[in-house]
Amino acid sequence: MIKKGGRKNGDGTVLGARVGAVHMEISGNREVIFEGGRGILEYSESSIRINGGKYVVALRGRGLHIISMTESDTVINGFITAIEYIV
Amino acid sequence: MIVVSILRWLIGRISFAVEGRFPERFINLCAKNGINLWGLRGEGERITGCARLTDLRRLEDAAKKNGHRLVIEKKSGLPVMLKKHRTRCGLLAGLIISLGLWFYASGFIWNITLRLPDTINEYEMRATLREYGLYEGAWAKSINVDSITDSLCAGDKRISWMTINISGTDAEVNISPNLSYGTKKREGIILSNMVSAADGTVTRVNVYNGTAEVRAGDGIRRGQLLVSGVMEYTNGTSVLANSRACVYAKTVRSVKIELPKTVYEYEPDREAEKKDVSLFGLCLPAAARQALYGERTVDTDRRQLSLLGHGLPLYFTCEKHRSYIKKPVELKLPQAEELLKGKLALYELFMLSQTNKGRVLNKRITVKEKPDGFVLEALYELEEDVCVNTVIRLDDRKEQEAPAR
Repeated sequence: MIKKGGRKNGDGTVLGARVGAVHMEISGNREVIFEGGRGILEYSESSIRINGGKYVVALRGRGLHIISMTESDTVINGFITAIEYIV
Repeated sequence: MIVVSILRWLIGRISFAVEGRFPERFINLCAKNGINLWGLRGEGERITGCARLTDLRRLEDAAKKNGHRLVIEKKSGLPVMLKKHRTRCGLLAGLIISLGLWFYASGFIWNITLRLPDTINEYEMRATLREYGLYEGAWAKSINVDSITDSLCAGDKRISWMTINISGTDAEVNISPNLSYGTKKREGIILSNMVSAADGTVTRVNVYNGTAEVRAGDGIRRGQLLVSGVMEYTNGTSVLANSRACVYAKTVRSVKIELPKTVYEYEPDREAEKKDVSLFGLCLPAAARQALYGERTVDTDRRQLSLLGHGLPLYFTCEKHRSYIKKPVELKLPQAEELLKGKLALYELFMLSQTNKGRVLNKRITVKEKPDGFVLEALYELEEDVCVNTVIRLDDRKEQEAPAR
């Protein structure tokens, strides 16, 4: 079932529709862009946990920091060693 | 990213630090309240970051609500700078004046780039364009591009078409050459013989079209028929043709160069530099200089000031003037011989350029001293193509004389 509110991509596919409206874009292991996150649960240089609604996304690594944050989007930069989904 | 940085600087920014337990709550509250944060770094129970200057009050509220301690470390950006310098009216006036001047100056032509064919001299074209009102320092809106292009294309037969593109303060002039200019109109088939242009002895005969009238070893005189345009076939018929051939012959040329015993040399005397600054075509002297008179040479170095690869209408011209004293020198035979041989080398170059595929086989040079000067006599033995075309006139059949070489 496709939920409403998902962002449509250029080719007509719906992003974030099946995964609780969170869209995550990962560039290598240096940068992650979250769209639709519901808040930061933990923030330190070695670990950042973001509330994704039905689950929590935990990033682990070194020198992690938020380079930009708005109400819906969060850009995290640093040396990421692991991405964990806590359901 | 540069654009974002400029926008943040224009809006104004604050660097802050938040201290207290669970600083994530502060971040979440800020996000919920629509406060944009960037550059966040967590150090235990302390978070540092940046926000917009306008969000300062809301940041303080968020910190107070969560029981955190907010420390404003730095305020920066345009609003902060303006507030800091608000009492300094001179700065503001200077800024307004400079912006006004910038706006005013951008209405002029700063640079003219010419893309010309080899047949047209750049200096000459700049002078012509100046007459039509296109020059560095001209008001861009006053330039009538269509009128200039029409007038120049109609007036100068070397130009096939031209365009003038004015973009901002730059004018680019593209000129395409008229390829038919200077070339003779192609005439119909010319019937011609080939005659000798000089006296000599034939060494080689290469006939491409026509009938050879001489062979290798024959002596020839100037104006003698070498290759006939009448071609006879074995069946007895004949046709007239445009003869083409190379007839190489040994020829002799002599030259006599005289030099007086007293010649004048120019010795460098004084040097002076003339520096000018040219702004929008207005030339201003940049340094006081000493005037030089008499015989002199000038080396000119002109440089344009450019900013970020874009030429500005500011030129620095440095002219190095050197004056010379005319001094008589009594020549002796070795010096005279050297000078005469230099002149002979120039003559030789000129002579060979005048001949058709000519080369020097042998030369004899004698230098003699006479009471009134020195004389160099040179005798050249050349091998050259001596053929020249003469038209076969079908109306009166009179043969033309060979043109003088």
